[in-house]
Amino acid sequence: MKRWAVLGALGGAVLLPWLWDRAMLWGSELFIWGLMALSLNLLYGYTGLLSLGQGVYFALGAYGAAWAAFYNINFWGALGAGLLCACVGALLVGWVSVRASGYGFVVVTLVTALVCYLLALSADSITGGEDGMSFRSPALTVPGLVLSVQDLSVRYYLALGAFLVGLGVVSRVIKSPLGLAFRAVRDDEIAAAFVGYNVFAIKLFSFVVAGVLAGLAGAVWAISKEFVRAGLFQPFGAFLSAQPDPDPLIAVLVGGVGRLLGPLVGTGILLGLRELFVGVWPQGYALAMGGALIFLALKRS
Amino acid sequence: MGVRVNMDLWLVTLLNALVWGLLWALLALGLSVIYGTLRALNLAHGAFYMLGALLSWALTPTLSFWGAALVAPAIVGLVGVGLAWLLWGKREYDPLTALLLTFGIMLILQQLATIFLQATTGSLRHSVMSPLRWPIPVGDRFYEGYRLVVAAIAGVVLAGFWGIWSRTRWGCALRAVRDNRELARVVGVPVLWAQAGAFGVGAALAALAGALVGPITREVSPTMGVEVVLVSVLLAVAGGLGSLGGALAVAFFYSFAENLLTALADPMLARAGALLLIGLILLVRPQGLGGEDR
Repeated sequence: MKRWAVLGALGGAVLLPWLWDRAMLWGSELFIWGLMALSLNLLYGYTGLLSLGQGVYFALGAYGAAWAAFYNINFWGALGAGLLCACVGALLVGWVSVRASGYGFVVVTLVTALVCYLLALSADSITGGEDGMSFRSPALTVPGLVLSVQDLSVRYYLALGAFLVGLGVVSRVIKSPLGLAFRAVRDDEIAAAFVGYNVFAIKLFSFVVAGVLAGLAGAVWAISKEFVRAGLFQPFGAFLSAQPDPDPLIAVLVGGVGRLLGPLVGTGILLGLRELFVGVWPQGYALAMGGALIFLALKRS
Repeated sequence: MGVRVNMDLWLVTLLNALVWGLLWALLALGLSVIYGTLRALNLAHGAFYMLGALLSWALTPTLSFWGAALVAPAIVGLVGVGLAWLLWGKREYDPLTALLLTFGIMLILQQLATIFLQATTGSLRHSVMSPLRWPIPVGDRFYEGYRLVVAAIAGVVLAGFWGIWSRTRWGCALRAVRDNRELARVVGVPVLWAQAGAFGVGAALAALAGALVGPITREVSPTMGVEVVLVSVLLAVAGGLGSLGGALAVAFFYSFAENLLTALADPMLARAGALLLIGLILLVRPQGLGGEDR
């Protein structure tokens, strides 16, 4: 039964572009930001580490891919460069930040994001600064096939593929003994340490996996948009733009913390809300987000 | 001649560091007091700062700058009391949930300010005139006298707050709630009033900083608080949450580091460097400078 549901959903996602053209645009956004929320869910929902600076790894992934594409490296090389940048960044930051607990961790992730943003602004010859930089994305090459990412349907399948990879990684991890260790650390750090888990290594691993997944989302985003800007690093940056991207934290909270598909559902709800507001009252979206946060917090008090 | 110019530059840098140190202290202190009583790291602090700046900008034509700088923090303080009464009351949040709550408050206040400005003036950024023309000659350049007035006001408010905190019954009640909430309730401290009051006072301090900062940054906008809240959260945590002395010390350390580095490198790099220096404090002492040993 469950298998049929999964197959049905997958088939629907694959066939969607043939049914409804506009869905491709919407769908690629859904899957990219859904992947981003998925990465945060692994960190916050399963390991109990609330990061407000997850955008940094998204931005690193985006810039890694952008730079590689700028130097005419092929598609897979660009994707790999994005993942590598995000991975190295997450390792460095994680090495420091996961030692802090509670608010310390939140603050370190926030401040990392702020520092990265300031550095990206000041190094505008490399990053393009606030104005950003455009580049030509390399064509997607699979054996026997060359696909241009200017094609909307290719972008859609790229986002879908990245999301499915992310979903596969997260569902493998949380069903493994390691996933149990994640939850042990989330529920009681001291008890987890007492029964012999290496809490530092577990947190670091979760942080790095989440960072790489965010980097994947960022790399795919950059390759589809053919554009990156320093503002990607900016903490709370999504709320400073006129058309805000769905915030991964709110998506996770709305969709259900610590549920495998919660982030996707949450991202879908946020995107739908944005569509609703955009025609009628664009400024209402941020109010709705704030209201949702307050409502969810009151419910959990 | 070269040496002389450099001396002036250093003097200006040190004065700036002093002024900003006092302003950061107002912000970090408010956060620390709020954390002490509510156990919440207030992400809406930047929004209070922004509201203070915007309100005093909006009230200046009717009340004059100084009147507005007095009334705006009072209004924001009342808003803070109301919010604490409404959203906290007898409820208790775990730390991360409290963070989400204040994040929500921040989004709503910021967006309300945006909507209000767009509806009334059609523009989001407004320039602010200095209320005081008092150029002080420093060597062959001039220093804005207004900044020294800001420093004096901030210094007096900080000293006054310090006095209340350490010498009066009210301060004693706040410290009691911070140290042991249940025990404070048992000995008759009105805990709900204490937490609403602390939230209001913290909000008012942030708003005062915002009101005073307008003529220095020369511009107010609904998003001016976003970066400010990130820095002040770091300062309050690195100072040891709930510890006033720690918050003060770290605020000054940060301000001096940033301004001295600005004299050497470009401002973005200087700010990033100063933030990293404060981050180092957290690495060495995760509980913060004035935090209790674990």
